[in-house]
Amino acid sequence: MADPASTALVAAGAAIRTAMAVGVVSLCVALLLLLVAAAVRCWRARTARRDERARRRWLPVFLAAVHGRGDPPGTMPARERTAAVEVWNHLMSTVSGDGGRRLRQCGQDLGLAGSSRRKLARGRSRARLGAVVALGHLGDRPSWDRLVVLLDDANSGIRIDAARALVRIDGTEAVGLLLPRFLDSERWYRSAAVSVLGEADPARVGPALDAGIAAAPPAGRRQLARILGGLRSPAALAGVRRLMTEAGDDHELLSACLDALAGCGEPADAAVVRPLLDHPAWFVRLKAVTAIGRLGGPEDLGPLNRLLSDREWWVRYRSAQAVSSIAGLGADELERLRLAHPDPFARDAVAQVLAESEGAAA
Amino acid sequence: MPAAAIATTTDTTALPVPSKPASGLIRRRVLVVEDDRVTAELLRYVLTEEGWRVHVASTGSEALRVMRSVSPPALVLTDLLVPQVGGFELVRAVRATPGWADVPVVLLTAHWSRACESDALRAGADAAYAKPFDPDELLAAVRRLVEHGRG
Repeated sequence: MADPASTALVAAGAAIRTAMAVGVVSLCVALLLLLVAAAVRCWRARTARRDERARRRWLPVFLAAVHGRGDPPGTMPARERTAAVEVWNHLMSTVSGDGGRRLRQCGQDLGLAGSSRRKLARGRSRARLGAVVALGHLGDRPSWDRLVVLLDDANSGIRIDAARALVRIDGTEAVGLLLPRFLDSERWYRSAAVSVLGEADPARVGPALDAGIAAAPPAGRRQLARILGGLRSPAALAGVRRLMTEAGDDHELLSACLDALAGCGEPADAAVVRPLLDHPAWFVRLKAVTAIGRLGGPEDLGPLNRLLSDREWWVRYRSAQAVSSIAGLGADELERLRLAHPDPFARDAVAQVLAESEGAAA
Repeated sequence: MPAAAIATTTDTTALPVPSKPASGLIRRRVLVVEDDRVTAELLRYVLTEEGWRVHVASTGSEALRVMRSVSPPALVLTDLLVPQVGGFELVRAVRATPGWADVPVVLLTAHWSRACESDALRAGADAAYAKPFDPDELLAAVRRLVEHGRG
């Protein structure tokens, strides 16, 4: 029979050996992680230095091209291409007119179209993103199909930049492709859709927007109206008017259309807005008041004065803003209006607008 | 761009230095307020090429500091969304400061709209341009505002 003390000693020795082994392994893993972290840090620093060198080398070349000065750009080494393309893209987004055309030509001369097509096919994500943007700036029609595929990419940044590139290549055709996708508000946020469509030439995409709206299912029209509202462009006006006539009892669609009209409507549109000042849904009245504040005239002051006593605070407040905006009232006139109004709730709404105008003046 | 980045401190080693002013104008100073490095270099380049001396500030408060410590520039060209003191606030500060009220201010913005333009003019700016902008058009506006003054 084994001595209990020696058994315990053997067990303790085994435990100590195990603990030591675990400790050594942990130390090795920690050292390995440290080495990897140091390597990643070195690699990132090296990449940053290389990118900075590329930017310092190519920015002057691009600036000279914008100004129509400088020699032909020569060739761009592959290792400098990602950073240089980013600088070129940035400048292309900043410069228009002859300078922009000269810069685009400089990009063509450097062969950015071919290299960007290759990066698009098998580059890393940063290089791919730069390639997508560059192909849009270059108006590279051969990349169209590849860019269309990227509209369904898992990376939202790639999706949005691909959409923007397509709009730059052919706005009219791109709008037809994009509008059905923009109805999926989970995948395409309204702000992204608005920013993409904002790239399009309003004079050319108006009919495409109108056709897209006509083809949209009823369920998607609210989302489209919200996008058109954000666009605040004359190109959206025909579509908004069409949606407005088709809204019927859809209060949310009406509200979105009124929002859009407030942004891009014309004084003539006030005629379709006026009947909605008495709409039973308070949020429709609210949007109607806001739209009348932008599109209306002195004939709307009577109904707006009445809405200063609306049962909803927001409607009273927007009515006070609309009255102030249409009549071009200064602080003294607003104060007179406030004092003269028999309804204390209306006086409160006017006082709020008065305080804001005094705050802005201060 | 380092703090207090005026022309003398801006790193220009990578950029070609224009040989001579392109116009017959006496070189005068334009204060560019822009936090984006590439856009700041673009503005510096096109203005310098046309014979202007350019000071670059990367924030609104730095621009005000430069205007107080040096003499007021012939013109201020500012982005709308610059850190610390925004474009509108900068315009209002220029208009409200004795001795600076006649300095023309041009606003640049990537988020242009008619409302934005009217807000800019109401704040006291003399012109507002959307990005992307045409450098030739911008240079013509700068020249016109400096030669003929505000209004």
